[in-house]
Amino acid sequence: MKIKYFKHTMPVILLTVIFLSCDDYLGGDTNVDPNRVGEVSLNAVLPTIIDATALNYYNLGFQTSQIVQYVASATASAGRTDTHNQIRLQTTWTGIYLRAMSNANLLANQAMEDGSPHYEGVAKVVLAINLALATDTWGDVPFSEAFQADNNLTPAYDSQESVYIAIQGLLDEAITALNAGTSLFSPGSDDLVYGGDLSQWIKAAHSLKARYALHLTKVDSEAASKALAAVANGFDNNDDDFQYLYDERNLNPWHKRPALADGTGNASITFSEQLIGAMNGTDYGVFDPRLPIIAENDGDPEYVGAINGEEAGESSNSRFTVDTWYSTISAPVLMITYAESKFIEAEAEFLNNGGTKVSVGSTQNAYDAYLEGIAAHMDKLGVDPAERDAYLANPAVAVGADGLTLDLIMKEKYVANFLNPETWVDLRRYDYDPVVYRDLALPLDHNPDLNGQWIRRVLYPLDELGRNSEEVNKVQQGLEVKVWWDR
Amino acid sequence: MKKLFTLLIPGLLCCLALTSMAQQRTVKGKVTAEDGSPLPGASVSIKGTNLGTITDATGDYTIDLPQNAEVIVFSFIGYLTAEVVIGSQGVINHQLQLDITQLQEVVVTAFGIEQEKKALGYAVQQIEAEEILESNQPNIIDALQGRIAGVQINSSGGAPGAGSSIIIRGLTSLSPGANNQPLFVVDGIPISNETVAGNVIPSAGSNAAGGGEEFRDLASAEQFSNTNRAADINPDDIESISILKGAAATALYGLRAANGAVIITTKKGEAGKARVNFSTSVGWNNVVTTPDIQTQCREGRQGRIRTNSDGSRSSVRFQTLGPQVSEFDGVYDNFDRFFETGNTYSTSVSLSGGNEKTTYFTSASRLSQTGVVPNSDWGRTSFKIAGSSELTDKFKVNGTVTYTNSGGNRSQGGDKSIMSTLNYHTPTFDVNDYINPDGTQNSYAGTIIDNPRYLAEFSTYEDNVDRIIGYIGFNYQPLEWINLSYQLGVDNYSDVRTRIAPPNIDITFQNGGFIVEENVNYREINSNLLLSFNKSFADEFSATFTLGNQVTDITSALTSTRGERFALPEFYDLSNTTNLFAVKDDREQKLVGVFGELKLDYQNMLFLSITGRNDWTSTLPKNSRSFFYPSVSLGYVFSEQFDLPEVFTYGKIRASWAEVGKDAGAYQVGTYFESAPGAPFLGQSGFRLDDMAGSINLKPERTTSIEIGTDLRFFSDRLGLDFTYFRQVSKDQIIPVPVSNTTSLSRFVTNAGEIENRGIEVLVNANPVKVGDFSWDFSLNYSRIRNEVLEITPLVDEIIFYEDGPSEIVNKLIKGGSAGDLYGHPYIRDPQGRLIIDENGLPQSALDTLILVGNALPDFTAGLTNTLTWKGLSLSVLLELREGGDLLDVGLRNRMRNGVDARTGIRYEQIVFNGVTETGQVNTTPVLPTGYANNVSPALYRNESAYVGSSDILLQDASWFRIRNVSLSYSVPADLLAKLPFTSARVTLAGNNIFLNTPFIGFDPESSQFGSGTNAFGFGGQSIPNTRSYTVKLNFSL
Repeated sequence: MKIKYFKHTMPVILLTVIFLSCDDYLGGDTNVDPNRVGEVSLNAVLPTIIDATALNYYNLGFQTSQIVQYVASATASAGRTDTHNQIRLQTTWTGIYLRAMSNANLLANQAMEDGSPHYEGVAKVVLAINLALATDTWGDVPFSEAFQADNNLTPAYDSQESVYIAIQGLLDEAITALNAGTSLFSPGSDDLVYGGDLSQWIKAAHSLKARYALHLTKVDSEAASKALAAVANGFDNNDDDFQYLYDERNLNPWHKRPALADGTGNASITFSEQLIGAMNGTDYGVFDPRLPIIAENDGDPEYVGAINGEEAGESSNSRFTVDTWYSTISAPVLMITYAESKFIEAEAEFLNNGGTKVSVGSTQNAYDAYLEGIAAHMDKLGVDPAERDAYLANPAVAVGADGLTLDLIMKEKYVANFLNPETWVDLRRYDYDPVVYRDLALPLDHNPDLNGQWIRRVLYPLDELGRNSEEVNKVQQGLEVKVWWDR
Repeated sequence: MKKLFTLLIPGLLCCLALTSMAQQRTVKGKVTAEDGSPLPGASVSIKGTNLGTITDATGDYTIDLPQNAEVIVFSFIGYLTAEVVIGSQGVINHQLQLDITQLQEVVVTAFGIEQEKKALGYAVQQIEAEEILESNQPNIIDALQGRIAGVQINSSGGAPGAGSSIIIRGLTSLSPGANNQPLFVVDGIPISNETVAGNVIPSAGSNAAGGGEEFRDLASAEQFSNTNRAADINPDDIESISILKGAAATALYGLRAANGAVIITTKKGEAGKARVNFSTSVGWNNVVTTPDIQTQCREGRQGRIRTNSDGSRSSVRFQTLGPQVSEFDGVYDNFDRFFETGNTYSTSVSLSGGNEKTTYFTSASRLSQTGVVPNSDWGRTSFKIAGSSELTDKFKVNGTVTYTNSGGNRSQGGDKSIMSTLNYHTPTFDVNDYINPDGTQNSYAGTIIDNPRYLAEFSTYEDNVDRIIGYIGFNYQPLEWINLSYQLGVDNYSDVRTRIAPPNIDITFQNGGFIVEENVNYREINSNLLLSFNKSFADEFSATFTLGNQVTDITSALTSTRGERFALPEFYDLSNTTNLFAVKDDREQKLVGVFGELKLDYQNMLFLSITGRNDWTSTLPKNSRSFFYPSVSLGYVFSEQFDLPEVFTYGKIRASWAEVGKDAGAYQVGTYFESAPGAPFLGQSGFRLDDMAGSINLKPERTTSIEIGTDLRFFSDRLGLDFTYFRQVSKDQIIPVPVSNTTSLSRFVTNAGEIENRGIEVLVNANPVKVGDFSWDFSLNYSRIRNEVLEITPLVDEIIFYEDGPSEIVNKLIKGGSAGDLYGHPYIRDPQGRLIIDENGLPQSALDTLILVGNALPDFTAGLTNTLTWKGLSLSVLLELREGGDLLDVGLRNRMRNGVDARTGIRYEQIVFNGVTETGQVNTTPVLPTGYANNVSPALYRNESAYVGSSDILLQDASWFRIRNVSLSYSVPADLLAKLPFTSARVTLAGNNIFLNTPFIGFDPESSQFGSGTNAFGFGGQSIPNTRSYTVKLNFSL
């Protein structure tokens, strides 16, 4: 009897126990990842998007600097950017969309829900500056349908024209939000750009509005006056610069590469003769005291840059080191500076005054802004005031309002925006014209598919092509095809 | 060797003596089978001598008797051996009795249940202790090489302790990170065979695994060939390994065995006198093969030694594209000079015994290996105790506990490693001149290319594993037909690893040197309950019903602390670093399964088995957490029913259908925020949205498989043929589908995709010759598996498993493709297949498009074991063939473009490529490889389009034929043993990998670039190369 009883009840008991306890045993926190969190506070996301944005400026700047011939490729491999080969810039795309914009968008939305417009404003400035990087690089890009995770896994591409409206809209919304009287939370030490100073964020938003207005000089006859209106509320001095500083732990990316990697055989870029020529007196008849600050030539009597496209950049003697200004361990990555805003002002004044590529003379305002831009950048780099003043007084620079030409403004902007992807926009706006950029020429070994045409955009990354092919195929264009504002 | 001779000589003398003993008297007769039919080929011998003969076609024999002959012995495979006293008889006829036990071959199946092979409706292959020992492999996975049909073993190289992976019947998961390896079970309890790659990459300075973020899991895996944890098992403790291949075989084990199961049974004590076994061995290992290098030209570039403007030599001269070697230059084969002879010492002792109620088995073993790379080693020490006791007639308890300590100094492979720098190293400098008097690195190329020997000595990685595996169990049999058994097992290990990379080597240039301290803790608890009922109905029909429950709880924790930038020199400690980074990865996974099996047996001829299992897993959302899957299998021994011709001894057909589920990894469901890499930023914490999120509607994966097979035996089992066909379709694959980054995700884990594996497995066993004491056995296995992606997902066109950045050889899957498909940039050819040569005389590659250029998976594999035995001598040879399968030697591109490889030796001779011009004319344009004559830039060996970017150059056929193992052993005969204190003594000489024939140029193409825990196939060449070994082994028993 006993055995029979055992036999029949044992499985039943076991199964009952198992079924009843299964949910408790398997459920609860069992499948909740202890290594990650489900929710984060606003101040935990802000540092991430700022760091990511600065890295995007580096990653994109590394490539565009080869196109605008600040630097030349020092590798021998195929697919080099400086010979205008098919470039797709996967890393930059991922950095812009996945690291910066996705999290900035999330921060903006969460800040709105939380009643924290100050965070919303900061997030929208970051969103705008990244969106502009994306559209200026690729043309049409996703925005209105982006960031919806599995609710829309194949976002449509917005036309660049509508993206530009969105950028200005984001900056306007940001300004409104930053001006809000109350905000449940406000950025403080987590704001790695301005340390919580909202007035500086507002100025940055205005300067950015000016920059993006001026991008449209080819398609909007009022571009210059819109830029002038915005820049008036923009940066007041170098302290307002939109920049991100590094430290001994988070190394400046130009320090990590190319400066450090130069010693490991992974030398990637070296200085281009175009930049050297613009600064050593060859093209403009004046030696720029900033050159020894940004480039090292190991005591050679001359600075020599590589001709873009030559094998491994071998003729250059000028390189980045851990001591050159842009590549020290803690150097800032500059995203938009007071100096740039002065050149925006100078160029916009020049154009508004009816100036052209070849016209001579402009307003005093334009000339003052031009000089102020040079001085600001020299101060930024710590140029000796005497050398600065000597440069500013050199006849090749101090041409006076009546002698001001577009190429001088753009050359100084070119130098002041060293390594900034913004310069590629400028070169395209002026069609790489050697009248504006003296001595500018196509690289050696130029991509034969382009038939002597300059590169105008970057191709969509292969990942995106594979994962969102239907949408990409609707908007895909060749390297030589101009983006909307470049028409 | 001396020892060997002293043991061999008595044996040889013995043989000689016996041949001179023939005498005059004869006996003759006829040997018949049970039914009276004559038995040709039966063995007839005189007991206590080596004299013997075999029966002729009519079963008749004649044998000469020595003077002292007393007993005559009749034997035949499949029959019981019989002894007959001769006395004064002149004619001895004998009828042999069938040996029934021999036909009832028993194999171990799920939950350690021993079953007659005859009763199974699916294929199971089992290898025994003898074969495991013969293989001489410290890692039990490697011991399976060449012996099991349908199984692919991938070793991660020749470093001591290097992990190996095993895949049964093809990849079933499409996800690059999925586990495709079988469940490992020891004595009924699942154990971990994980390979933990950890996180040994610094914050900057490494391009490991292409540096791409999507392959970050692989970056660490390629650096060190970490050990797969099954290597902690001492092979000497193993009684048998049974491989459960299909879903029908593993149905009872449920989802963890969805990729098959490896069932290990360890040795147990036997009743009787205490037995001591002692074995010891010493082995020598060398690299099998290394690439040929050119010796005509020295280091430099563009035909000259690079110099600075002041005339000093530049460190940027790491290439070997310099001037021709002069008589004053030394030339070194650095591959040859770098690798050393490694040694393996192994000692193992066991003590076992018991009485009728209680048995015990204890063992201790120590293995220590030094590698072919200087300063590399691995060791394993294990202690085991196992026992069982019958407390009453109905109640038995048993248990075992094994402690293992393993680990060593591991050598670095992959990017910026010993192997990558060795591939670059110029032959005009000696690689072993690696250190300056002040202790700093001496490299001919400054910091650009590290000296590989310096890396081996100072850029180190050490692991130390402490592990305990054990179980307690009982068995209760209240009635003859009821059996209840329970087992509670635990597998617990800690793995402490230290990676030290000193400053001023390539990988630390950007971070000032680093140290990684990593702690891995793993604990798995399993509870198995089995209740079975066994009943016979009449004589014809019997049934077994088994009901079971299994509960599994796995927790693992990995904490990794990386310190960078050493403050004080040469003090490599976390406390001496400036920047600290910490990574933590804790996981918990729980699983509950309830299962049942009904087995029916009709007349010992027809066998039917029906199983069902329901699993509840913690890793899936609540609504899909519970899932059920059934299986049915049928075995029909038709030889029991029909009268078959005499030669046809046994025939069976089998068929099965089964389904099995597979769950997700822990924490794949939902959306999370993670700490951003590099955070904190300027002291501020930084979190970001994890770009991988999982669908909240995730379902389990399902694999459905059918299998049919047959087992045929002839000539009284002297010839056996086993054939299996299988087809398995895995659908609803849980895949991190790559999605557009503009969605705020890069991967979305969802159910997508369907993959099919189908194949055949053939086993042939034969004993073609058995004459007296001489016997020749062979066993052949052959398998071919085809893999096809039936469906991916409408979301993406392809899934990239791995892309080698520099060479752009990509392993990716598309619909209609196969798991091992490799894409690259082949030469452009005309429709006749001739190369199209451009105006410079160079071929061109399709650099803009990725074209299917090969497949990493073999067309078929085969293994053949030949065993020859004669008295105490036994010779066993395992031949292995792998036909097809392509491999990229990841180091080849650098060997080529830097002028090290032998093929780049042609520098100043004009060459003309075979091909046609664009207009179809035969090409006659000569090319000077240095490029100057025709002003082609860059030089040929650095030209991507013409040479080094072409998959025609980079991707190679990795077929091979090898002698995997040769083992010659001699057992001391009984009469000699009587004078020695042993009950048995044996000496074995063995060689592994002693012959390799392959079209692959470079290293032995067998080992894979990535660790044993990855799914990227087709990449190799930068792991520590495979070795060839010779071993001498002694075994004694008391």
